[in-house]
Amino acid sequence: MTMHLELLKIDSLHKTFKKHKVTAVDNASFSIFKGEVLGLVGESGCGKSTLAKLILRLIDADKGSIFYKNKDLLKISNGDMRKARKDLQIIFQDPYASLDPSMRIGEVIEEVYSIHKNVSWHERKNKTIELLETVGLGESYLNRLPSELSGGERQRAGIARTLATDPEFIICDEPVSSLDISIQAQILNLLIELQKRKNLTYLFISHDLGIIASVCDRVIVMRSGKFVEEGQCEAIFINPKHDYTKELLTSSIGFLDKKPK
Amino acid sequence: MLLQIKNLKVDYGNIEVVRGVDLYINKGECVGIIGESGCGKTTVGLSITKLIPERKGNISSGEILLEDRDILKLDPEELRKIRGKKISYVFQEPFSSLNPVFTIYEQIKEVLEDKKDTNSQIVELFKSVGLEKIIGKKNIYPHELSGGMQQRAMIAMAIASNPSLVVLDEPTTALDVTIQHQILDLIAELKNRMNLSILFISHDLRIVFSIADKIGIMYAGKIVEYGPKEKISSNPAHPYTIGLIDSIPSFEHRKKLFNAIGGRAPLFSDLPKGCKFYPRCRFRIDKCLEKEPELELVSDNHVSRCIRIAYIVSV
Amino acid sequence: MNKLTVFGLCIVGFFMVIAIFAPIIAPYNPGQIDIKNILTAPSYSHIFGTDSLGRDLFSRMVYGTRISLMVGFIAVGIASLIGIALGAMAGYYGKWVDVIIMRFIDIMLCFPTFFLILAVIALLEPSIINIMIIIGATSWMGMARLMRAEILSLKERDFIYAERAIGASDLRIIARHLIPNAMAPVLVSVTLGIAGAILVESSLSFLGIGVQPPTPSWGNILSEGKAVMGAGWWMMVFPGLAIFITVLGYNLLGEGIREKLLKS
Repeated sequence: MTMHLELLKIDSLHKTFKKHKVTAVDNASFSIFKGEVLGLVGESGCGKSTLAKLILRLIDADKGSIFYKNKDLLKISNGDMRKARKDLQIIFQDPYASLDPSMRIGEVIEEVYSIHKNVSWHERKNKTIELLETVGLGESYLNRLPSELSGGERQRAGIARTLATDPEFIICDEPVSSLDISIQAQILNLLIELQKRKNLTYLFISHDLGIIASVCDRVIVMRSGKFVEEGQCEAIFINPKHDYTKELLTSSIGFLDKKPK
Repeated sequence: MLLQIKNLKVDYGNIEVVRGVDLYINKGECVGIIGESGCGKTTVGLSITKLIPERKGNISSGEILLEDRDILKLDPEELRKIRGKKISYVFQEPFSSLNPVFTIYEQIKEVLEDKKDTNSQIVELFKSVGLEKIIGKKNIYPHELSGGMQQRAMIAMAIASNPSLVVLDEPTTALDVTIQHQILDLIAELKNRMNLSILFISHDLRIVFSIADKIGIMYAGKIVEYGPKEKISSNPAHPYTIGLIDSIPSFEHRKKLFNAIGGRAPLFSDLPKGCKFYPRCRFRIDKCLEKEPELELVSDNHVSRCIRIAYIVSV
Repeated sequence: MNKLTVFGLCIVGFFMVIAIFAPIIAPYNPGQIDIKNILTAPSYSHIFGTDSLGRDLFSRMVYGTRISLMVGFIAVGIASLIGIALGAMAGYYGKWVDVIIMRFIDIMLCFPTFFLILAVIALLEPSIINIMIIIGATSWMGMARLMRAEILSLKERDFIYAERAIGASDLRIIARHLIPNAMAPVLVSVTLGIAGAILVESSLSFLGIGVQPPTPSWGNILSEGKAVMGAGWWMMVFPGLAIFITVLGYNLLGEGIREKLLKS
């Protein structure tokens, strides 16, 4: 795989929540290359979701810079940022919370087209159906409400919305952790397939090392706002350097062959 | 035999969600139930001491024998003596299971059988569940503890009365992996030391396989495969079990697609004909539609609810 | 739905029908003076009797329903527009926008509303339109607070982050996603608000500074009745009952909706 094009470069990004006096992200610096899947693993409250929201400017960073194709996202106007969002997308953890409960699935996707005007008006419906089929749903889902869908179907709808802007980079923020294991495997398959087919770049956030191992090229281990280790998946999983990484590994690689003590 | 559940059926407002479950737990044994959300696994756990909210659910048939006494036939007073004493529970959310207005000490004291010398008993309990830190700190409230510590306190309460059976329902699901690991180690250690009998309910195969001796896989309100852990992990004999095992993400998997189970679990209000797993099954044949299969013997102590066992085991 | 809510809904519906079909239902022209039949008691030809100018009270009541409901609806409509817009802005933008709007609400709440209305009417002309505007402009604060609270909890939900992530503008997020999802509790407030506005209108008209005669409204009929209380009891009983029953209807309906929302 060729991965020399630096798509996103994050430089000493910092965020402290004043109300709780918590440093959620402490001087994070890293790069993501075109076409790679970068894993971000850590336990709850380590700041990984905050980092995701910071990168997309869904919350404001205290300082630092986010270069997307050599443009600092933190320095551009709100209007330009709205346009840039076309290329930078996010899939949320809880597919139920991430869909407007009052909107039908078709409307959710068509709304993206009406915001970005990237699809002409009379093509919108066909495009929407096409997209729903891409994620394994179909035309019959157009007029359904999120509450009428199962967890897996909702996450598929969420992924369809994400794809509607035809993004280059997607942050997957725990995209399967609220799903049952059989559905989880389906969604992971869908994400892996999409990534390969469209040469997408993912920042894949998860607390589950098994999931990180099965989808990522590179991984960053995060703890209390700080990066403790970063490297190729193989290196980290086979030869972890940091104690915390070791602890995570011994805690989570039980899988099938583990004997009870 | 410590506990025998025979042909348990539970319905919620005319919709049957536990459709005939048999389960046996021996003294000192940990039996795991694996199933996805809404398969009825939690209901089985709650049914054991009739904890299902009366207005909503109803145990329509079956027997639950605790040391040969049918729990379902007991009057409320006798039932109360069993709950929390002979059979205790640990649930997923430790914080919502603990009463926020009482201290941990008070709550544990409440469940102790022997009211003499409660202090030394509590110290012993705290030592055994790894809560040495709060020994002697009598005015600690639940919210002052971390999630892992709260779950340790819950486990202390569960074992305080020397129960015959502990039902653990997703006890580690709300916890971080490192804490999860510690709690599982604690449970395994207590089980060996106190010869505890455990019913361990979880959706996570990895966890159940790491702790249980015997495993039942539940699907659509019935056990579809049951047997010793080793047999199920090395030689799964039901297509659902195989699909679940194939769905476990792991390092060996590296960027390959999962051999995932297609479709979604059926709704109880709209169960398919014949084998309930038929629509999602990769081994299905037309004969599967004829009737719902019975549990059939795969090998000693290992049963599967599938008519194609011979074929499945051979591939 | 419980029986009381259905009852409330029936009352509300009943008066709506009367208001809409007033010209068909009213047997006489409400302004038609008949000096031969002044203050006649209820009878076959005038089922609610006549007033001190010989006008048919039933017809005036029917047309008064129109006025009273219209004032109620439009005043609450104005209040909702102000309340929802300001509440949504305060909740969504937070920071100084929130501070300014919330302090403004506090100030508005400091005034005894009814006397504020009296003062403003004294300056302006008491016309139906002015009455509606003034009632609306002084009763939006509760709705704004309600809206703000709803928006505060909604805006942290993932689907709002998702909307922002796909590049939706603030206006679109507020108008298409936040407000529709926050409407349910506001609806209760609107229903109860209509009852309140009808009461205020009646009070103003009763005091003679509301809807001006000869246009009939429940309040000014009541006011005219006050002058002839001894001679024409029907002049006070019927409009009084109408106000009472309507307000009861809207309150029952509002409570019913609230209960339903709490359950879901």
